[in-house]
Amino acid sequence: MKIQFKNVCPNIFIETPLKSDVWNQDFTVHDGMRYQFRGQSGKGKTSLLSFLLGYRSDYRGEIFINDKAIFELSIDEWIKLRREKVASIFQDLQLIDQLSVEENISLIPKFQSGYGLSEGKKMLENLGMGEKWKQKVETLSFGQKQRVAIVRALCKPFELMICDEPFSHLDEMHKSKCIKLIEKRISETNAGIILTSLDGEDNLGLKSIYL
Amino acid sequence: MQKLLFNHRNKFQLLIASIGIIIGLILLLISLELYHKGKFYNESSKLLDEHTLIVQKKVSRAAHLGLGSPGFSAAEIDELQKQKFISACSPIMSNQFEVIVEINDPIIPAFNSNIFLQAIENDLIDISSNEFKWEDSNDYVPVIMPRNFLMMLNTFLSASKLPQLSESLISNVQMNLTLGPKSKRSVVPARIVGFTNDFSSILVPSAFLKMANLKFANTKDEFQSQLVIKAVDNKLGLLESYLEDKGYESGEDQIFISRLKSTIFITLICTTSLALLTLFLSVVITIQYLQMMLSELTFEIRLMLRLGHSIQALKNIFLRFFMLVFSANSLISFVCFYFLNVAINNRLIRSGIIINESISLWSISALFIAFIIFTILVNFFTVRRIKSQFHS
Repeated sequence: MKIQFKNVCPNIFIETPLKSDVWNQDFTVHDGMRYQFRGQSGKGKTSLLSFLLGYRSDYRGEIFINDKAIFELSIDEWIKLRREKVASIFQDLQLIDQLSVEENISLIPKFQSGYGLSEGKKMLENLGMGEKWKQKVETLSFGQKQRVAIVRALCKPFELMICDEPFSHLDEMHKSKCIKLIEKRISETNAGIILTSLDGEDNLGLKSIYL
Repeated sequence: MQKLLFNHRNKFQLLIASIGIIIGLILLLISLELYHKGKFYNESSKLLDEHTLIVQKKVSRAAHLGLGSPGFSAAEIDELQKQKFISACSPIMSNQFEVIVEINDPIIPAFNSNIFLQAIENDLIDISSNEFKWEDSNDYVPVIMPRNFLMMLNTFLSASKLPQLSESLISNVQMNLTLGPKSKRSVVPARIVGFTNDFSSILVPSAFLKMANLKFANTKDEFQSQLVIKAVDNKLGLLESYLEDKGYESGEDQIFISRLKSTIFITLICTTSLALLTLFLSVVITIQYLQMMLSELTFEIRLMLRLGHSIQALKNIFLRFFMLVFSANSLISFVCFYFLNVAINNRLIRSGIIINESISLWSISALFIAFIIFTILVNFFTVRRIKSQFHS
């Protein structure tokens, strides 16, 4: 999946002088490429991913997905994109507390070209959460929730994985296990990855871009 | 997903709205049903159009004293025919001999009664000439039965603790007319081809009555106590004034039924309006409940959309739920309406008002239309709300 940013700048930064590899620059992410957007809080990491996923449109400039401006994408095209091409791990995890781990993973619309529920369970077992499968998410710690969110994203079919600070609440052991799972999955599918990070991520062979 | 969207939700408001929808639908269905019954009441048995009257002389003390004839003379008929506001005037023929009707059928006990026959020229009554004609070679005489006769017969059957007869059933019973004095009696089979509220005697084709009067009457003098008069269009008022001046009177039944119908229709329009208002308010409450539900589920809906669920798929979840609610409400309403309708029909029939007992297509259509409108509204508000979450 090819993504181009052309002179993109969040509205809130328009009046601010910026020194960035992305904002007010032309920048392209090609098929299967791995990037990490690095920057301190408030630099617009989450905003960038929100623009890319079509959640927000409060920016100037243009973003193209596979050479088509995202403003021109129809709702059906967005649905196909979100369903089949992109897997995302949100900073706020986007899990439903009242549902169990299994039910949260089952919210994925279709598994055809992704992993099934049983694979999801295996991944969670690998991450030390096998016994939490039927447990409500509200009873889990933030770190545990983060692992559930990562597994849910990995169960989806995707060509590009978008992760917003995915390991922020994980200890080194669980982070390492998660990275292995992500590496395995993106290698299998030859998918690209865009990740945001405060301090930078040394694994996954990510190329750093500074915001 | 159903669990996520609908469990642990306070459904009190939906319950109130459902009760409103049920009441509204019952009121609407019963109003439309009664309107339909009222509209077509007497239509099938209406032999005379609205410009045609049956006229007789007013019964006065003078007539009892032999100072005035209760019948119409040829001169009086001739004078009526000359009036510009009268398009047709024809005497109603009556039998001048004894007539006994006998019902001889295994399904009901033997019954006989002296009756009167009347006949009128076919072009003044609204009935098919093919059905209501008689020739010498015919095996039976077609007759039009007054509804009062059927009511009288049913009263007799009821008193004998026997089941009552419907119009369709009595139309198939074997009936004979015994004509003439004892010395030269003749039995003629008869068949009912229609019912009337306009005449109180049994109607037979004029050709038959002319023949019978000639054959069985002791006297050949024709006594014409009633006339059928047809007014020129829009001149019925002039005719009524003229008749009043001449001391003639026309049957009030038809006018009474028309007035009664008007009163009933006004009442039913009020009930229908009330039903529509109740339905409208209940649907508004339901839509508010839907909006509130969608509002409370903003996070969940947004997540579904972010994961790649289509607006259509999400909308269908809500639509199915509300369709189920409305279907249940409709079913309850229809069952209540059905039994209420049966009760009303029985009451009307017991009171001697013969009506069509089947449920009209109007009521079924109204339910269907209400369902369609409700579906469109739920669909519209759900899609609008979900769509607003798509790019957020």
